[in-house]
Amino acid sequence: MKSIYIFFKSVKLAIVLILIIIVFAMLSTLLPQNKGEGFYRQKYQPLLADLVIASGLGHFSSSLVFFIPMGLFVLNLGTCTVDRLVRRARRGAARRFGPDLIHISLLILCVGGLVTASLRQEQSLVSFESQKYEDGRPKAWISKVDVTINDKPRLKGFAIEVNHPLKLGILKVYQSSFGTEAVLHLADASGHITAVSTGQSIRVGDREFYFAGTKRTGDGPKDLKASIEEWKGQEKITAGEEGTGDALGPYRIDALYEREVTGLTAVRDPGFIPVLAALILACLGLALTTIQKKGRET
Amino acid sequence: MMALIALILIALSGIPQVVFLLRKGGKPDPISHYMLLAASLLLFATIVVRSIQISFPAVTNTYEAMVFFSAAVCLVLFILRAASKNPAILRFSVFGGTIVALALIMISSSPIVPKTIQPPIPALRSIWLVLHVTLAFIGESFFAVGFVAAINYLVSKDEERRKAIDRIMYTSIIIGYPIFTVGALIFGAIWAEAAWGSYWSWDPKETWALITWLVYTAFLHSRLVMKLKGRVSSILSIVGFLFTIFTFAGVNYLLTGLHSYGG
Repeated sequence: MKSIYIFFKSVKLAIVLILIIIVFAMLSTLLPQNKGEGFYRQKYQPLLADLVIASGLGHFSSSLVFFIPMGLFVLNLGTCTVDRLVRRARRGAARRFGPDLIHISLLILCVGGLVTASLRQEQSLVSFESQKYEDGRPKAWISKVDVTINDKPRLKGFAIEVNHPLKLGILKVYQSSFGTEAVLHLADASGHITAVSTGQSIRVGDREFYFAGTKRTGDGPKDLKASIEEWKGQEKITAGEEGTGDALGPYRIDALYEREVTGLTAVRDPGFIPVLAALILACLGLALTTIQKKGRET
Repeated sequence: MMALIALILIALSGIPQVVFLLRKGGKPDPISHYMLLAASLLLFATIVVRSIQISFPAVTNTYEAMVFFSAAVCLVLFILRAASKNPAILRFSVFGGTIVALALIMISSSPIVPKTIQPPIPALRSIWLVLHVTLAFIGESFFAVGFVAAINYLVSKDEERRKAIDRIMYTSIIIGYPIFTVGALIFGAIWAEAAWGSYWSWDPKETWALITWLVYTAFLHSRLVMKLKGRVSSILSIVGFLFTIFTFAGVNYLLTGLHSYGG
């Protein structure tokens, strides 16, 4: 038991584990992450592809090559921290405890990271509003949202921007992406309009009209065409380009345009609170270490 | 214009340094550190002028980052030289640091780095980003001094001299390490959480910043606990700074990720 304790409190072990983590982390940055097996088989030679898949380096942060050295490192760090604290209690002497705070903060950080990896939840949403600089570069994407909880309005017109998320208790809504999407307005015989965005479809009897994307034939608004696929079950019947005024089954295309889109992500991450506590503790530990070291030297 | 004058000043500061390095007697030159201070102030002034023009602290593209980094290296060299009780021993380290500052400002002045003054994109408009970038570069400026001191240690033969150089290397890294940790990793994580809702994404730049931090962590532990000084420390210091430069420049051009827009 004692030999295990001595093994795990060893700084040499810490250095070896740090070197192992460094090597695997370096290798992981050379590989596209979190792709399917087929991707690696197509991109690399068979032997290299097998190695990438078997080692898990293609999904480094959730692989054994990360978790095993990291788990050992946490054990090592924990044992080392306990050893330092016990030795200080035995001696009863005042010692620099800045490094202890840093070590404890790293342990909390690892726990927080594990909680995030296990319990983090995400939900994607879409919104549409943007501001641009005079040269056309993006200035801000703003998503105004109304929040209703249990049928009672809680917030009206809250502007979510990047770096300015909406916080609702433990749930936060972030602006996570941006881009453009095309919208098709379909008018039926009575003039009622149905809006369909890229990637969506509309059902007419046993057929489905799928809005696959757009094609531009010029710079004018009428030069934008919608790529429409007509499906019956699993069978594609027709595919073609349609513009404003064209017929589509029982519908007529009333309008076709592109709009700015921002992606929102609703996040619930119970791991962030321990991580934040760890970061604050690490800052305190670093400051204390510096102050105590300076005090000892002067 | 100010950046150009600063470049000339840094280059000119090398002349008295070389002259005094070649002279016998070991005295440091009396003016080069003031030239470095003047260059640093001019480079910081460049950042201030650009900041006024874009109404935001101008540390959001590669050119501004390199100007800031170079200014910070010059300032650290001046402080080191002015505060030192034994400036003679610093001569090689200050000269090496001058070359690092000159290389940074020369690359920033080259056509490969765009200098257009543009307001930052929305994701970069955050005080956390400003703290993240500035503190990371200040920490890295101390690592630059540690790097040249490490080279000086490895090429030096005299044991007394080596001890003094080892001390310079250690002092630089012990100052740079907490600043880099807070700036690059802690404030970087807080900014990422505020911007995207994820404090760590294993983006290549994040991973390389972590790798760099781990190297300096190994440096401190090998030294403070295992009492490995001198050669081992020097090698780790050199590797750490090479990783620092790769994290800053190499990742942007060779690997892609969240930080790619920084260019």
